Amino acid sequence: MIELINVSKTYDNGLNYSVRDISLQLADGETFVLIGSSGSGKTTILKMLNRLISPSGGEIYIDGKNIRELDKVKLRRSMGYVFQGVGLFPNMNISENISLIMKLGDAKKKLCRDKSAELLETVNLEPGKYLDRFPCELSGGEQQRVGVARALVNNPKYLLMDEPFGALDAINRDALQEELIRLRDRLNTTIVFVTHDILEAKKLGDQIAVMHSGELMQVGSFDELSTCPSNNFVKRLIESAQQSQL
Amino acid sequence: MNELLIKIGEQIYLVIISVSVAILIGIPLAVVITRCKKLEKFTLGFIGVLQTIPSLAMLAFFIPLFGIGVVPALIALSIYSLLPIVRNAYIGILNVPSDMIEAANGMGLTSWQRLRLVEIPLAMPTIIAGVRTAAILSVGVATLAAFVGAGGLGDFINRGLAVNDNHLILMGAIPAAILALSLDGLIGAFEKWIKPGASKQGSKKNKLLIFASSFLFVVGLFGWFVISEVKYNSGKVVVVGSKNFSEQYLLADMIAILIKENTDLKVQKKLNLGATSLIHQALVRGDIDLYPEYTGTAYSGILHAKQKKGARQIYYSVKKFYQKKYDLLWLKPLGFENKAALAVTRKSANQYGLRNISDLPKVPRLSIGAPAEFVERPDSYLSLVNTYGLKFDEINQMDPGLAYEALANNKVNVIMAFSTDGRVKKFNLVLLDDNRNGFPAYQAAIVVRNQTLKKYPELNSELNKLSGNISDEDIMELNYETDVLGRSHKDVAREFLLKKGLI
Repeated sequence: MIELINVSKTYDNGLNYSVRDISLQLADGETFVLIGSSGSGKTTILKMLNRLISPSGGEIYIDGKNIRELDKVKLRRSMGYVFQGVGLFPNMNISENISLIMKLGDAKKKLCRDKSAELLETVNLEPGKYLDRFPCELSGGEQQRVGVARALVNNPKYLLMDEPFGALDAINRDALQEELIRLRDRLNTTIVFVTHDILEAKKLGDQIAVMHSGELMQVGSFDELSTCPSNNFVKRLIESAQQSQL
Repeated sequence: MNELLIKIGEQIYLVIISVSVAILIGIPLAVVITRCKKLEKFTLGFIGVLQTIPSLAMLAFFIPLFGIGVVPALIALSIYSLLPIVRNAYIGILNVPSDMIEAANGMGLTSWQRLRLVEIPLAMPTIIAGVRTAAILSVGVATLAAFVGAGGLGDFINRGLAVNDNHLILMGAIPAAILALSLDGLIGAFEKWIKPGASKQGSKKNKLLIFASSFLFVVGLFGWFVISEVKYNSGKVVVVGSKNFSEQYLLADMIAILIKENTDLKVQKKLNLGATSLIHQALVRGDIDLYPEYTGTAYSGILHAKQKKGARQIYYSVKKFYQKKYDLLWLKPLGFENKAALAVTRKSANQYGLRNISDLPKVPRLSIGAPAEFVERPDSYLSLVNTYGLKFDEINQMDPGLAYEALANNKVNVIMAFSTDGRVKKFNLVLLDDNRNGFPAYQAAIVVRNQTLKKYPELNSELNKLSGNISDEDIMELNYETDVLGRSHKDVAREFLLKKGLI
């Protein structure tokens, strides 16, 4: 379980907030979507979870442990991290990209390769064809599948995803969303998913947290948000989803 | 040809070692300034300033600290190589896409792992481009290493300038240019070859092998250098020095042959040690054991004496001063005097009726070509001004070798020449009579370290064999043989010693 208590992040010496006084609870096994427009603070929250950004105030607990007291590197390796930029290393082939963290943990080469192959299958890429290729030889969709595979290499309990499908075309995006749902159901991973796309949020999210200007507007399932939106902003957001679905 | 190969070898050695040192210092330095931005401006600025110091000046600064030879040359070359390497590595690391950094951080790479596995590999093309620039640059600068006795292709250039031989100059310059181009090509190929993704998994071992072997190669080079230095310094070796002009090479060769033939000492020659202060430092430090010097040069250049004296008195004051202050011994004069003199073309001598230096004011626009020392040393320029009331409209600092050419081509109308120079004869020049003794006496004699004489007493009698044995006519003839007829200094020196029955 992830718990945020009165978390804030300020910049310009505390004059401005990028997120303000956020308290959230994320249950195990659920997919928790943070939605908002750019600058709403959704990515800031995500990055505070693996300490890429440290909060200016408040506390974050993961499975009851205050993450300030956890080793940064260990914390990050225990969570998967996928982001829009993918960030596959062009100097390593696909197998090396996926198993990098294992290799740093002194895993044998054979083991690394087997795990990479297994994970490629998980994300629907044929291992024999992809293991030895380099990132520049892959399409955008394929690259992001590898990005997801890489995030899963340590069998993480938590998977942090920062607009992972934002740069993909509609067809690839749909396909990857479907696969993510299957993956989650199979691996029982807790996913924190950042997006600005309300349809994506509806499709994936068990819980949806609506962010606006650094503040938390409302948290709930899509149905809860649509039946009783806490304010006009949430209402308009839900309506836009319903309209575009027509 | 054999010598050419050796010089090319020395040149490559200088370049490889200095660039390797610059890489070892430069890349960590670049990493530090990417991590600590406050240091960036200062560090890059400081290295940039170092780069602007003229290479000869930098080499000269290092003589008192590190002596002559390979060490000061390597230090100066490493400093010159530093800027392109640090700057490129810094820019390369800074330009690693932020996606890569975010991915590395998000995955939980430590700062060191991120540097080693992501930032350095991705910055590699830029880093190598910097190494490439540094290598080409240092091939050029390394030709100046000859100036401090570090060898290399600059030896040919220096010698060519000294004896006014364009072939010799080209013999140094062309291989240096070819070397620079080949290094450029080689590193370029290397750059392509290590490009990420350019080759597959299988060749990784090969890459490692090549890296390891080139590393071993550099280490080997370095080891070879240390061993050869130690070997030289441990045996019974006398190091004979010389300045960078032909007569000095000739005298150095004579001394070397004499010692080799008549004693069981080994001889190492360190020729081409340019300015007086430089070779003097080298002698005082013990980098060389002896070299031929001229009394007048020491009198003004080292003693900084201005008082006019006769030849004998100058010799004795110099001898006394050296003995007391530097523990160096002036042997008895060799017999000839290499006086500074002013020379003009026969044509202008006739045109203006020039015979004595005091006639010079008749020339409408006086433009003189002279070595850099001319202006600095009180016995030259100031003495002329004071004694003859001369005023030069233009003073062109140039290498002695170039001055003759400049005069022949009417670029200047008077040059500072040397009274023993064979080229006076070759270019059919007129030496103006120093009718008011504006230049002090310049008796040639060997200066030697007392410690060396104590260590090898047999040297004493050998060196003294030359005293009083080389007349003005002798030296002018010998200089003519080498400089104008282009014969090798060694041959001419040996012939002379045989003729005199000294070997």
